[in-house]
Amino acid sequence: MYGIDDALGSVRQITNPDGHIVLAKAYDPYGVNNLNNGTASTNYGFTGEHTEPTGDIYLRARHYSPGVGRFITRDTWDGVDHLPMSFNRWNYVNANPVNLTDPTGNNPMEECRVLFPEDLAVEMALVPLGVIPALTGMCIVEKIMHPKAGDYLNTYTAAGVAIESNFYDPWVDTRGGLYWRFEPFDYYHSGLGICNISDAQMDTAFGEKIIENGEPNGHYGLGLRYFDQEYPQTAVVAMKMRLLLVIEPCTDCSVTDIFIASALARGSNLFPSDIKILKTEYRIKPSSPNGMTFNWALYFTRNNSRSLSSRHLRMFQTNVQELQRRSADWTVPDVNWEEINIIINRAGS
Amino acid sequence: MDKRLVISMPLIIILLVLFGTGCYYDPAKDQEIRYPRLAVYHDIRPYTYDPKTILTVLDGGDGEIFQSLPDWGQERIYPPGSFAWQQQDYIKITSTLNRFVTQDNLEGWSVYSINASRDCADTPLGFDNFAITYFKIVGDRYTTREMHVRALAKEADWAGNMDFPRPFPLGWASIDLEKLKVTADDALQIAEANGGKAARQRVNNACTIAVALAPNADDVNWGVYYFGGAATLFHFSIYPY
Repeated sequence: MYGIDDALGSVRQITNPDGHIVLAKAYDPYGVNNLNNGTASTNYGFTGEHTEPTGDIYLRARHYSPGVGRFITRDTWDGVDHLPMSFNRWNYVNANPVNLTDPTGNNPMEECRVLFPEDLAVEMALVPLGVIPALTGMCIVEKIMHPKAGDYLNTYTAAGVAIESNFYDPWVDTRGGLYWRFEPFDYYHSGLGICNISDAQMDTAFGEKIIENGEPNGHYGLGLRYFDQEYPQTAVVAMKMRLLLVIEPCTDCSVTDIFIASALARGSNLFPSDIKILKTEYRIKPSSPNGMTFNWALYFTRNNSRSLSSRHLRMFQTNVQELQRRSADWTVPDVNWEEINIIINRAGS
Repeated sequence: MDKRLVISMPLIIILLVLFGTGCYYDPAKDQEIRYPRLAVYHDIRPYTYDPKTILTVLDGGDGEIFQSLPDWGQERIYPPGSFAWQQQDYIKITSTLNRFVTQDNLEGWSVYSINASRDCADTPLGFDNFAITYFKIVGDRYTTREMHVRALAKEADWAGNMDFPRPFPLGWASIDLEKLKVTADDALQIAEANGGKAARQRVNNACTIAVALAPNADDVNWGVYYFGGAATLFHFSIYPY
C-alpha cells in the first residue's frame, strides 16, 4: 500500500497497488484526526509521524498530543498553520509549498552570519541603541518568515525575532545549528537559538509562572513543551507567544499600548503581571482614538526603568519601521508615533 | 591593512573592552530580570489600614495596624482628595509594615530607590503614593524588599523574597537616607518653584506629579516629573545630597 501525504506530510490517503483508495484520513489544523474512511489502517498520521494507540503522535524522543496542548487548542491566531512544520525535519525542507523556511534548504543562520568582524562590531554597537536596524536579524527573518498584510502580530514577531537573532555568534556556536550557545557564558543557556528562549520558558504552560529551584523566577511559560527547539519556525512561534503573553491580557488597550507592550515583552521586560498593574493603577484617558490608555511614562518612572524601556522601544520601533520599508505587507496598525516618540525621547531624560 | 578594518579598529577595541567587562549587549541577559519592580515579585502581600488613624497609631506604638487582604492587584478605588503624607511619614509606615511582615527592622539593608507621586493640585504638598525598595547582598546576588503605599486606596503592599544578579564590575548604588539633604517633599517644592507650577497650570492641574530617586536606573538626582496623559509636561532634576 502507498501513502499519499498532504503538504505537511500528514497521511491523507492510502491506496492499494491498483491505485484504489482504501483509507482516507483528515485532520484539523491542530493535528486531531477527525476523519477515517476506509478499510485499511495506518499508524502514521498527522505530519507523517507515528501515532500511538492513545492518539498521541510520536516525535522521536517526544510525544505530542494534538488535543491537549494549551496553546494549540486555545489560540486562533494564524500562526497555527505553521506549527506542524516545526515537528518534522523532512517536511520542513521538502514539503513547504506556501511560505516559511529557508527556500534554499540551508541554515538561514549560515547564510546571514556576519563575515567581517567590523560589521559585527558596528551591529553590536548600534543595533542595541536602535540607531540602525538589526541587519543580520532582518536577513534571518526574511528567510524564515513572510509578511502578511493586516497581521500586525506577524510584523511585531518578525521585529522581535530580528532583534533576538541578530547577535547569534557563529564563532562560538559549537553546535553549528540554531541554538544560541555563548560558551564563556553558557549558563544563560537560551536553548532556542535565534529567539533566545530558555527551556523552562518553553516547557512551562502558557501564562504560568516558571518555577526555578522551587520558586517562581519572575518569568512566564510559553506552553511550547513539545516543540522542537532546533527549528527556526519554533523560534517564530515562541516569539509570538512571548508577545501574546502581554497582548492577551491587554484588553481595552489601544494599538499604541500594544506596540509598547510588545516592544518590552520582546526581551522579557514586560509580563502579564505588569499589565495587571497598569490596568489597575495607570489608566488614563487617551488623547486620541489610537492614543495610549496607560500612563507608561509614569509606570517607567516608578519602576526604575526609564532609560531601559526607552532603549527597548527605540530598538523595536527601528526594526518595525525597517520591515515596513522592506515591504508594505509587514503591516503596522495606526500606532500613535508621536506619543511613542515622546516616551522614547523623554523617558530617559 | 584593509582600509575598512582600519576605520573600524577603534570600534572593535571599544567593543573588546566592553566585552571584557561584561558591558556589552547580550540578548541572553534579557532573560534574567535585572531590576526589581513590583510586577516581578511572586511574594506580594497586600494589606489594608485606616489612613485616618495610622500615623497617630504609629506614634503611639505599632499596634494592630495592618489587616491582610485576600488578593493582590484588584481594581482599586481612589476617592478624591489627598492625605499629603510626607516622605518621613511614609518611611515610618513602610518600616512598620516591614516589621509587621518580617519581624526585622531592615538593619543591614540599603535603599535602592524611592518613588512618590500625587495628582496635581493648586498647592501640592506631600504625596498619596509612595514606594521604597531595599536591597542587600546575599551570596553573589542581591535580595530585595519593596513596600508600596497607596494612601487613598487604603492599601499597602509588601513584596520580597526575590533576588537579582549583581552587575559586574559595579554593583547597585544605594541611597543614604541619613545624608539626604533634599527629601522627596523638598524636591517637589523646588520643582514647583522652577517651572512645575506653570506646567500644571497650563493643563489646569490635569496631571500627575512623580518624584523619583533611582540611582541605579537613570541618574543619581531626584527626578520630578509632571505627566499629563502620555506627555511629560515638565521635568526637573535635583541633586539630593
